Amino acid sequence: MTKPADCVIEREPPYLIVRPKGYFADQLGLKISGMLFEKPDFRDIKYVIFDFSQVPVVNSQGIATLIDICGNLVDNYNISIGFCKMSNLASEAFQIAGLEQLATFFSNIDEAKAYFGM
Amino acid sequence: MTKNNQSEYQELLSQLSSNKKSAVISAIVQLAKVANDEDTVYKLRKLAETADREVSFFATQAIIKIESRMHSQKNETPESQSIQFTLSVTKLIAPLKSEIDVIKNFIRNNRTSISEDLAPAVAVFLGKHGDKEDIPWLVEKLNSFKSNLVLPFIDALENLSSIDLVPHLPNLLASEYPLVRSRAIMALRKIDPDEALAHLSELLASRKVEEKLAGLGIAFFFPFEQVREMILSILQEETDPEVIRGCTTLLISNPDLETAYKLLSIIDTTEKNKSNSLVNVFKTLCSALAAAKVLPPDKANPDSIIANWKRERLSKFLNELEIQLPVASPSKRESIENWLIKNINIPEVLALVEKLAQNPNTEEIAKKILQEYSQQKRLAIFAKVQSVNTEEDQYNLIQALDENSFKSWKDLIIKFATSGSVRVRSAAINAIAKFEPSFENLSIAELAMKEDHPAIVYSAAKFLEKIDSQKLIPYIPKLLSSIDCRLRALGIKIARKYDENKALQSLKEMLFSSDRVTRANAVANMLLFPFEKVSDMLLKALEREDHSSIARQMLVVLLSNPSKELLDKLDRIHARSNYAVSLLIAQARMDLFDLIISLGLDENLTKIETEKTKIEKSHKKKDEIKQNLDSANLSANETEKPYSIENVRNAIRNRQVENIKQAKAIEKKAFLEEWYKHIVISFIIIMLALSPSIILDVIERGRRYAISASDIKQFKIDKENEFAIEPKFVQEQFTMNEVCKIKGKFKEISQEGLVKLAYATMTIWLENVSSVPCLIPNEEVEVEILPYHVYTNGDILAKCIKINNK
Repeated sequence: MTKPADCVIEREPPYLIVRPKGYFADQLGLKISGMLFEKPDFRDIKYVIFDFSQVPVVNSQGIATLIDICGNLVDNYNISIGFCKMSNLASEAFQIAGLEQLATFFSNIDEAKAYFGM
Repeated sequence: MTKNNQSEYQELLSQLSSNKKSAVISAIVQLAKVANDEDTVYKLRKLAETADREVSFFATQAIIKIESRMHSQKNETPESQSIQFTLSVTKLIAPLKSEIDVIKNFIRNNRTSISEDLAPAVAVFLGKHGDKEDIPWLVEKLNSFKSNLVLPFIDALENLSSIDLVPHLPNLLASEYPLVRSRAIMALRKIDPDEALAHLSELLASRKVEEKLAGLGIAFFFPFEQVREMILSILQEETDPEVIRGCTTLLISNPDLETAYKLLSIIDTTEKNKSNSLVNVFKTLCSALAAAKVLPPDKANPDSIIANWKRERLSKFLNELEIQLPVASPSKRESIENWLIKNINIPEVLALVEKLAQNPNTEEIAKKILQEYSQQKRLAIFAKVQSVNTEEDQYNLIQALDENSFKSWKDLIIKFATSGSVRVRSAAINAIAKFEPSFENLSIAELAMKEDHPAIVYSAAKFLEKIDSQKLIPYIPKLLSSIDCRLRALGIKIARKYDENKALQSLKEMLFSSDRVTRANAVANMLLFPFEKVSDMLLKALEREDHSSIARQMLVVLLSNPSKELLDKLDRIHARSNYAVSLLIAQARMDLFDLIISLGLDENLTKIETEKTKIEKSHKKKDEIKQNLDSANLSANETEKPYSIENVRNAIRNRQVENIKQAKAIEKKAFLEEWYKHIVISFIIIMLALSPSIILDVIERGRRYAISASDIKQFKIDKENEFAIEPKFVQEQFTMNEVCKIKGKFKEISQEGLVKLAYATMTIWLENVSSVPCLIPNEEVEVEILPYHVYTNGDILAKCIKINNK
């Protein structure tokens, strides 16, 4: 039986740290989308950093919802996005899917923060 | 010994101190064949004395062989054996000619009493001097040894009767000991070379270093063309120095110009930290090419080979870059970028970079390179503002624009976008899309969409997509039917939003295209489709894919959607077109299996066949196999082979699943034990904390029955009871609970008024004594008393009835 997937979001203005956990399929993507956009609160938020350290796999549907989420953040809220701590497989999949056009890849959260300027 | 052999010999000696057991044993076995000096024997003796049974056995065996060789070279005979016969490792491994028959008979007559320690040495002996009569014993022992000590039994059976080894191959091929697996593959190679190659591929694809080393050890025995691609594939990712050394040895043992060219292709595009070791491999290979006279010495030097390579391979190499760039890791991408910048002056390279700028997956990196390149050119262009009449000037002007300069040149750029050469028009539309993507410029893009040339249509389509992708809906048929793969990919992206079936059909056509770039683009799009709609298509395409980078992309898409059903389907894929692709598929299977277990996607991955049914099946096939073996041409149906890669794979997975279950059970047990320990310790601590109060309580109870000086109160005569007792019968001897007359010595009077009397060995305390002041200590007195109570210290309390002093 697969372990339940979940997500934790932490506000550290100007950063929003999104920490998905578990197998990243469309359900988790939709959950994150709901958490971010149902009652959006991006006051003082300029950067969203995704921490994939607890995500072993992101499947096709998961990538598709991730692209929607990132597209929404960039186009509608003018937010810069960082991805960090991806597994090798997830990193390769993101590159194939072209997610590098939407987000910058880092090895850890501190590196992302340093890049974004704080 | 030649220089090459000497360095190999030194390498074997250095391997003796490796921390990988299979590398140590492999080195020992090889040294046994070639060593001839005391130093080596000394090193082997140290290993023979270790606690590791396997290493000890092989080292002992090697010592005996080497010493035997040294003795025969010196024309010495080994120490003569004692007259009384005893079986020993030395005799078994290096028997004298006169001893062979004696030992053989001894073994046959005492099979059941051969110790486990001697059994491997017996197998070595029987392998050389035994015959069919010994096979049952060898087979019986083969099943009882699970470690590397089974190797002598495999050797022996293979020598005596390889057909009897076949039923046991599945177990041996699935062994957790790499050397056993590799030895079994060698045995299989004589029966079924294709299947053996598949097993070798699995072994080399392993993530475990020892398994790779074992695979490299036997790769020499397979045709080099079959293993070269696998070796080069390993070299691109490997960091373990022993594995790199093994790969290098294999490559330079088969010096080939094609290998050198392939290495060069890899070196420039690999990560910095790995490229240095590959450069060393390349240089060593060049020396080998000269030494083997494949090339004349003046042409076998690295510079010469690189120049030739550049000439012959440049266009092919550049195509490879275009495929690898989108999926390269960041450090590899940086290497490629640096190479492109360094060689941008070569026209073919510049053309590639311009092409990359048109591909959405690579346009960022291409633009960065072009900016670096055009830094100098930009200044020159703005210096000759008046002369932009030629197509080249127009194109260069557009490429050199930035946000500020665009505003100055806007009118001219719009003019270029509506009427100009294909290249200029396309570049102009891109520039407008980049610097001013507004609705007022939309008409330019809509006009361009009506053109036939794909480059113009693509630029216009990207522009429309940026403004509003719905504008592209009417153009979907045109996009999907375009000969340009980028247009088809964009069409799929839009169509999927509005017409998925059509999109899938176009995707299928792209995926099975003969053009590699088209296939690579198709895979990138497949990742965005629902997996169940593209999985079968992808698996079929994987089976025929011959390019390792594209195959890797396909496998990433598959691995990103792990499931048991996918694993079953992947197991059935056999990519025979390219061995590097076979290796990738083998690695992906293992990775997928690990993913499924770690995600807990399916608890019952494989059904475990019992040993009995396996052997029953294999015995049924034995006769068929025997006939085919005689003709040395086994053509049995793959699914009937007990040693097939599928069966062995299932056996390995079963074992892994069992190991994981056992590990979990042990972990749970350890956790419970830890809890019990904590509970017990807590209980002890609580008991220790409470024990002082318990002890004190016990002591307090004892004190209630003891009399001490502090308890004695002020004397008072108790006159009320003076005449209370009227005895009717007086005992002449001391009797408890009866009136008796005794004589004792007065000792003292207590504060309570009790008179202490010593009688025989007793101490008697008298109460109700009336004539106390008349008594002198130690005076003998005669008393009539009624003793009725015994104190805990043995003293007696009695009522005094009468007291007479003498």
